[in-house]
Amino acid sequence: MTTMEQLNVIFKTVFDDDDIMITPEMTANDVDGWDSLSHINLITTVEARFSIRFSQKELLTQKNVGDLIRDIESKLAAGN
Amino acid sequence: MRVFSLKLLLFFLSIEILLRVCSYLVPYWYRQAEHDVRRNPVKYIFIGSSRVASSIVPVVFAQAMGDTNITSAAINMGTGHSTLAEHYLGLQKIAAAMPEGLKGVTVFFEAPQGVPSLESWRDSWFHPDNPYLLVNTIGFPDLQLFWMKSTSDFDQKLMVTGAMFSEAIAMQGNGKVLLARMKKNILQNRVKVAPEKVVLSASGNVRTDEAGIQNARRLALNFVKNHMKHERLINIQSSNEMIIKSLNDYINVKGGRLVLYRMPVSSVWNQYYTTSIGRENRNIANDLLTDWAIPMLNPSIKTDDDDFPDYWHLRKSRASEFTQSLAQAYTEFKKKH
Amino acid sequence: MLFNSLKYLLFLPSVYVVYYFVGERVRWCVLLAASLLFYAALNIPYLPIVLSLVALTTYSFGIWLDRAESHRSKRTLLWGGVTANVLILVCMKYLPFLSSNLNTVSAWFSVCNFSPAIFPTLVSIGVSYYVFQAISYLIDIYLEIEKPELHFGYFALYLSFFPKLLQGPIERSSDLIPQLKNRYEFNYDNMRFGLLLFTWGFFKKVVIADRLGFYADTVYNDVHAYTGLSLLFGTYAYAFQIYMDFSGYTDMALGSARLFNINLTQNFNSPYLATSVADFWRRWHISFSRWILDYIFKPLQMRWRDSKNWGTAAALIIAFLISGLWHGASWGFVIWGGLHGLYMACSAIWKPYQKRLYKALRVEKTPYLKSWQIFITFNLVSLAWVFFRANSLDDALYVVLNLIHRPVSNRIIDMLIGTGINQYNLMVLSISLVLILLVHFQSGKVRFTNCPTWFRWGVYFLLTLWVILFQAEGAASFLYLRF
Repeated sequence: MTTMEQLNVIFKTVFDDDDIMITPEMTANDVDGWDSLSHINLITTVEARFSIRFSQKELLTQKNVGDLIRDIESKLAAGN
Repeated sequence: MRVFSLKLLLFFLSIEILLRVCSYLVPYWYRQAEHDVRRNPVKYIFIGSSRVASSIVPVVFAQAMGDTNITSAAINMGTGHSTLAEHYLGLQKIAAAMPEGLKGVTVFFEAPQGVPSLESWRDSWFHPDNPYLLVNTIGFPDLQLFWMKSTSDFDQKLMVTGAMFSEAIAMQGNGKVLLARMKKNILQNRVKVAPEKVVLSASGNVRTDEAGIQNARRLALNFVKNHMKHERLINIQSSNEMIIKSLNDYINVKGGRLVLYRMPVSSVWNQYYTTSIGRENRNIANDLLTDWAIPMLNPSIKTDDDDFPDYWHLRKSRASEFTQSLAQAYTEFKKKH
Repeated sequence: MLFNSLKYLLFLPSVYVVYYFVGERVRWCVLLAASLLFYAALNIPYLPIVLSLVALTTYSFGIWLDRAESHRSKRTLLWGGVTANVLILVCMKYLPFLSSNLNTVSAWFSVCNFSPAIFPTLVSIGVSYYVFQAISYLIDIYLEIEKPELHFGYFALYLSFFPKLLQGPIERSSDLIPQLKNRYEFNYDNMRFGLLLFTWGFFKKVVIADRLGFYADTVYNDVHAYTGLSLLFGTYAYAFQIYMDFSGYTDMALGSARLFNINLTQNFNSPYLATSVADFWRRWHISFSRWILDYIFKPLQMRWRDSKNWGTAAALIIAFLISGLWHGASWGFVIWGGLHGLYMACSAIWKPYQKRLYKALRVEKTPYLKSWQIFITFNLVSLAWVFFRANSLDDALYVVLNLIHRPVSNRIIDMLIGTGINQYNLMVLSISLVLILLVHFQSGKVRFTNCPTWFRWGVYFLLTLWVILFQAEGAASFLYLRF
């Protein structure tokens, strides 16, 4: 599975919605129930699933799904 | 941009015109008096605060003086929160509106406890609670003096000046007054006079409800307390700047006469002239009045605290009696002078 | 100077006229000079100095931050810049509060007999707002989502732009600076809309908010004289007063800025129609809550994400305590913030169960649920307002404990009359509120500019005359000015 596909599964689980199809441009406005409180669940689930750890800076500058994927892939590539 | 500016100008002009028309249709205070005296010249003008408003009944006075036009010979310009400067400026308007100026006119001014207000042109020309009274009376020639002499703060002076040019500024917050006056004009002939349930006359902005009376009492007590804390001796050097002197001179020049009268007050105000400063002030005032030859009448009515339900104003039921006793005192005065 | 003063009504068009006729290159000077003049008109000499200090410090730190190479030096510079700004804010607003509390604490422990320094209470109008802007600017540079502004004039204007100088909105540099740099071209719609918005804000403030203030003030300035429903109505009146006052100011600010083709951020979005306290904060003082969200809550939440919901709850409480404290140096504000933090924290923990409950009761997505949620949220928020408004903690506790007491008289009219609100004021207030509701429900359906000319001009006339004639007596200054 690509990163995008793996992330899509996580989204479906966290937001309890089997119909979600993520795109790089997607932001919190596009998903029902994605607010700052559920966002943290998303992040911790992503970190656990991919066994990575984001830095504060990365977390505070991610604006959309595309940024998230980029950071995940750069962490994986760095062998983090 | 040009189109926009023109439309904006048109808009503001329309508002201004509309408000001016309203204001012209329902004039009040000196503007109304100015209007009235053109048709019916007046002989007796009463000026002062709301105390004057509630204690003088013009029709009774004219009748007691034996005048034929009892409804228009006397007018009561007393209003709450008015200052002597405003009355001076207002009298200018009245003098200009009558064919012979103030010839044969007597202006009566109250002297609570025998001492009239000795306000100076250097004080604020208006009471902060009602700057619109000044707007009602001030004219363009007076503006220069207003800015130079009076000590109100800049924002308020700006507001008064602005109100002279723009009716929109002058009408600020006056919706209630406008509505009340329109209602009065429309209902004039159909208004029923309320029976003697009301103890105070509502004219001159006096509150006649129970809460208002209680409030006024508190205010009176605070007022006196404050005065006693900041008691000062009258400054004789500045007597030339006293408005009452200018008023006397002006009225005389215009052919009229200024007369003061002792205004009865409740015992709350007794403290004013019992201290040494107070007594000295009373003497200074008396001397000044003698120097300026301003007569002081002494109406023979007897009052007590019961006659001042809110500590400030005379009870409505005694107003006619007071007016008559004042007329009597004036008649006797005229015989001797 | 205040927006609802004659001075400003003369100032704004004068500034616009000058702005319009000067060359494009000097326009920022005009705005900057006007903003300084505007600030100086408050007659508090040290304020423009504080503004200059904040501007110079932040401008310098911004540039150094960007030039710094190592991560560590960046961090140091960030903390340096932020601390400098926070220190300025603390000195202006919190010294007397801090010192008096320190004295109380040391008295309890009878620790060291140091004589308390007496700190003068300084006026800090506007400082809270532009210091927050400065801090957001520095943090955005640190996070590399913004580049520092090299032109000091534009930077200073970003902080001091007069429509938003005294009470916000708190603007992000990425939103405001590009707009300031845009070439100005006369835009008929912006002029028209700007003036209309300004008048509308004026209306909300001088006709509605000030009148509601009569009632709220009468009750809150002497709470012990009232009980039961009077306290409740007094609190509701205050809730609407502060909304009308602040959103009125915001409309006037946005309207003023619009004349210069500048769109400031919306600060309000029908806050009392919120269905939860979280939703309320997405609709009330939006620029401020977004600031708290981005620069305090999110970083804390991220830092403590391993503690799951408890981490979030802690971050919420701290974020809201700071929100409370930002409003002023008093325990009332801190408790107000703390209450909101508590509401949010509880909601965060309770949310999943809540969803299940609604599903079980089958009330999800029904209008009844929505009305219920709005009602509950409004009351929770009003309860917090008690602490915000009360003149002392004592008063606040009295109000809270006596809200559900039997009133002295059962007649609502008696309760109202006792507090000095009269028939005339009630009538004007009611009509005005009806107008507000009308506009609210119509604005979703019909675009005002599409209405026929006679209708639009009718509205302009009615609104202007209404504002002129029915201004509440005794001009009161804006409530959010002192924060």
